[in-house]
Amino acid sequence: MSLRSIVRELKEMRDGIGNTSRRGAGSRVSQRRTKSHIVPDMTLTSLEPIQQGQWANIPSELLLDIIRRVEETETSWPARAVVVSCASVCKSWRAVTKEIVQTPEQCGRLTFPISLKQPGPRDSPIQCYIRRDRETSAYLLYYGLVPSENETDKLLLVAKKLRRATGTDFIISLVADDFSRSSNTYVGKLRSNFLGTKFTIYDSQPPHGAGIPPKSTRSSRRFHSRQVSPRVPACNYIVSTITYELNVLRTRGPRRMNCIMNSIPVSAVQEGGTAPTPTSFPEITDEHFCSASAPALKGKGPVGDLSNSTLPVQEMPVQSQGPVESLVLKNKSPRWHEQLQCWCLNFKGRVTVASVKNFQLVAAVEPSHNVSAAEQEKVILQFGKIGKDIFTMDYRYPLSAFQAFAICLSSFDTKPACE
Amino acid sequence: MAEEKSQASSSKMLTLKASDGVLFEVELNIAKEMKTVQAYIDDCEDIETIPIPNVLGKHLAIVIEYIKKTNEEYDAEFEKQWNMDDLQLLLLAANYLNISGLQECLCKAIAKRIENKSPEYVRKVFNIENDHSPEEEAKLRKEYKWAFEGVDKD
Repeated sequence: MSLRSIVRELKEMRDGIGNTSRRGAGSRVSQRRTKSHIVPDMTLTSLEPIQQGQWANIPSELLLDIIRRVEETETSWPARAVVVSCASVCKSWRAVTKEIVQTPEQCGRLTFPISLKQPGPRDSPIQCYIRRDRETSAYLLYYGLVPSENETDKLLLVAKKLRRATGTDFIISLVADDFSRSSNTYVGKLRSNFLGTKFTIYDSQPPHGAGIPPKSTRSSRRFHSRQVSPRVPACNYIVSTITYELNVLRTRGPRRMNCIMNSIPVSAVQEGGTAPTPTSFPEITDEHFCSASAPALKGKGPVGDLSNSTLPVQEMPVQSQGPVESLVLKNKSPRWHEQLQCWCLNFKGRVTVASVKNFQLVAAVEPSHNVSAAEQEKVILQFGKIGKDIFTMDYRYPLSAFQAFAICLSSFDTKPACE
Repeated sequence: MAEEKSQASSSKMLTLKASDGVLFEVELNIAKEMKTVQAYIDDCEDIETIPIPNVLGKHLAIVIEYIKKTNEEYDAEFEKQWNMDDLQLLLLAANYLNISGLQECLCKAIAKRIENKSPEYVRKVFNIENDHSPEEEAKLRKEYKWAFEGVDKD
């Protein structure tokens, strides 16, 4: 069938349709293919000239083109907020935007709040800084190398320090004005023991892929399989336990950090490994809180005794290959600099003020783990002081911004017993 | 007719008929920039008038002008003249007629107009209805609050 005859046919149909709504007319035209080289999609448009207000109906490849250009142009904050705008306009725009935006691991950029729960890039770190506000006991994580002159840096996460009888809590939220655990801006928390030697990081959502809610008599375990986000009880899931130990030299040497990443398997740093990458925040089903360990991974290394917590520990149903080993991070040992008479780490210019809080974390692995030397050398998290109440935080795969921030917060709270 | 045929093919004229009946006489090499029209010509060689059933005369005129004049400078100024409704219709025309250069220019222009804008603004200007459910809307509000924290409103 030639193009000309299609057009003639459609004209006849149009004349016959009369006052039918344009949308309806468009969809009723049958699709015919011809042997012509390029057949325009007749069903895309109605037979009448396109009227205003039909952006919702533009072909998806055009919408993809437009939104892709927006995403590629606005790579840095605050302009990048427009990508979040596009994802909020309507369902089709959201679908297209989500298709285009890559994870931080893939593109090195933070876009949606969920980016903060996804691992950073493998090759080079995402660079942030933390500002401590002593008056409000708040810690603010910003995206950027150092505070900018005009204060337009993107605020990523905020932590509020709360002293309890038995220790300290840092509540972590997406926004600076809401730290309620029942709010949908609540991300997780860091809890310390009384001595400030042992910390636990809790996440408000289970590690991606676990999908099993912790044991609790109060929760309702409803799963709506049609929804993309699993509905989970409002709970805290352990994602990491951090311990600080004195150096053998006591106060004259740097302290030792040990982080068991309960939510990241050691395979993440092995050849071809991946780290859990959630794609959305879960929907909270009820307001009762319970605490449980992330259904997962047996930690290795000095777990110490967690008897200060009364947490029911839920283990993941054992996989066919047996329980999975957690990744453990330890701080890189500084070298003693004879001439300067101090302990030194190479922070590559990102840390400029000496402080016992400064550290670099690398993977703690054994030969049996088969982790390449290059991978073992990688500084996964670096934290250090650059000014009064300003600290830089550089993190990369397999840590997420949230995990990195929580680990850094622990460095603020360690007590003199440890220094 | 015979006189025209003996001239170089580049000066052969073609007539394009817009949806509202407006006629445009264009040179063949201009018309060929519209791949849809090119396909039409390939299919029926003797054709003199080609119907363009879903592009208004007003927009077809703009499209033809674009093809004749396009260059970097022209493109930069071109997109500034049109409001969102025209941009949309021009984009659909460029898509239908399959003119990749114009389509790219318009997509770029539309993307630029979305810069630094809120979803409400985008919906208003593009005349799109928000079809999210109330639950989804709550999730989006959280995202929005986080993304626009500290950013000036438009």
